[in-house]
Amino acid sequence: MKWIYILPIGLVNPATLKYVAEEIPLKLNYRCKIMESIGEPSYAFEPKRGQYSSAKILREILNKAQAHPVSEDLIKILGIVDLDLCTPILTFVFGEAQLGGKAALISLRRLHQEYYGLPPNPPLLLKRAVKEALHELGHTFGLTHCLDPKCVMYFSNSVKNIDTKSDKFCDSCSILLSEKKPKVTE
Amino acid sequence: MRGDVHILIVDDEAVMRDSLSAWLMEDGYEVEAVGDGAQALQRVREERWDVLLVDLKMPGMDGIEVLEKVKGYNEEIPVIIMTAYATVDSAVEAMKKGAYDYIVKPFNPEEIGLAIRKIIAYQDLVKENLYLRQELERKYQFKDIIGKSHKMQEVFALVKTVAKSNSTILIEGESGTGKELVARAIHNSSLRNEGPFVAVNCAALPENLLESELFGHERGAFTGAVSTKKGRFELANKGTLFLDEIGDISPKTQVDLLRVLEKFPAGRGDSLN
Ligand SMILES: [Zn+2]
Ligand SMILES: [Zn+2]
Repeated sequence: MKWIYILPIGLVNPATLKYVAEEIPLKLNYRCKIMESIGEPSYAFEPKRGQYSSAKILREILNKAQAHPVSEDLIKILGIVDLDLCTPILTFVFGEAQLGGKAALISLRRLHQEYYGLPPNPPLLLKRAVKEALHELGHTFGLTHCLDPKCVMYFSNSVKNIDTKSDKFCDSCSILLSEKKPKVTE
Repeated sequence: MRGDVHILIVDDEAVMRDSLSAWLMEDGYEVEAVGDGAQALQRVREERWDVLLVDLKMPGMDGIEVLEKVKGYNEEIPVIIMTAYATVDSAVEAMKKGAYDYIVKPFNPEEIGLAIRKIIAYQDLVKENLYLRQELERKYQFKDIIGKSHKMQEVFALVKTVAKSNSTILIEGESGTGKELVARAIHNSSLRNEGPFVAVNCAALPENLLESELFGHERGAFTGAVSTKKGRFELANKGTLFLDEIGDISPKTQVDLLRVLEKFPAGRGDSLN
């Protein structure tokens, strides 16, 4: 039996982690295990940007995945961080993933209503987190962005786009997913 | 999904190449990245690219030089210049030399995606426009003529050819075979298509009236000529005059007609046919 591992990086609300871990299996047919949190990713801080390099954190997640003993039953690993992420070419990202690889990462930072100066909205935060988690995991299963604005693989450059799309893979993405996902025989 | 869109990245910094490639691949594009202008030009010669993303500041050949050489090779390839050191001067130079866009690194996530999608949409539009325009021309010129046969296609081709001239054109054919439609098609395909298309059924008018119909008359020129009347020749000025059933008119009118037609040598701007 294979699992999707969820790795909290730095301080992340445990209730959020639990919710995401319970929602993912409903869409991806893999159950989730929440790992022990690793520390704040100071190694990934980019002083010029005042943000964290998503690529550097992704590498750290991959290291964690390859480390014994989890590698045996690990199908994917999803890092969750509550810090703002950037890449060398993008001003910010909601997350990053290895296309067709093992590791994915999402940031909750810009999913909070508070980030935009609005009152907290916990249910909305949870919904957004699940969508972004599924989106980045979708990339690890080899899916690219989908043109269907309702599909979870639709590219979101704003929370508005995240809120517009559903937490479901559209029919064509579902087909691709079932082709790309290894058969669960173990 | 967008696997049929090929993007070439030219950047001397590996970190930028990797980051941009990864991101564009997530968006479903087919991406290749090279580290300098020389390799870029080689790849441009070897393959078809939909978009080039070229870094401005590179050792050796800089982005502007790559842009110029790419445009020199194939003007159609859209080139986006990207830089972490944006200045008005370099932006102006890039745009003047034909850059499609000039983007500052790091990009807003949607900015670069939008720029590329705009190019793809534009290229699709150009193709679609070309097709629609051809279709429209075809339908407009020959909209009333239905003919798929080889012979009719020959007629259509001939219509297109003769429409460009200002000569007098004789259309022969049995009654009911569509001579007037061909005449209208010639008019619509010609440079005079903004002008009037005037048709006269020569067989339907008595000889004396036909003369005045064609050439007009001054008031009182003959019994019944109560006012000055413009002839059809005059009415058709800068347009096309179609003389239907010309074979039915009397020898005398034919001679008059010939005299008039001879006064309109081919090639005169406002001549008639
Ligand atoms: Zn994505
Ligand atoms: Zn989809």
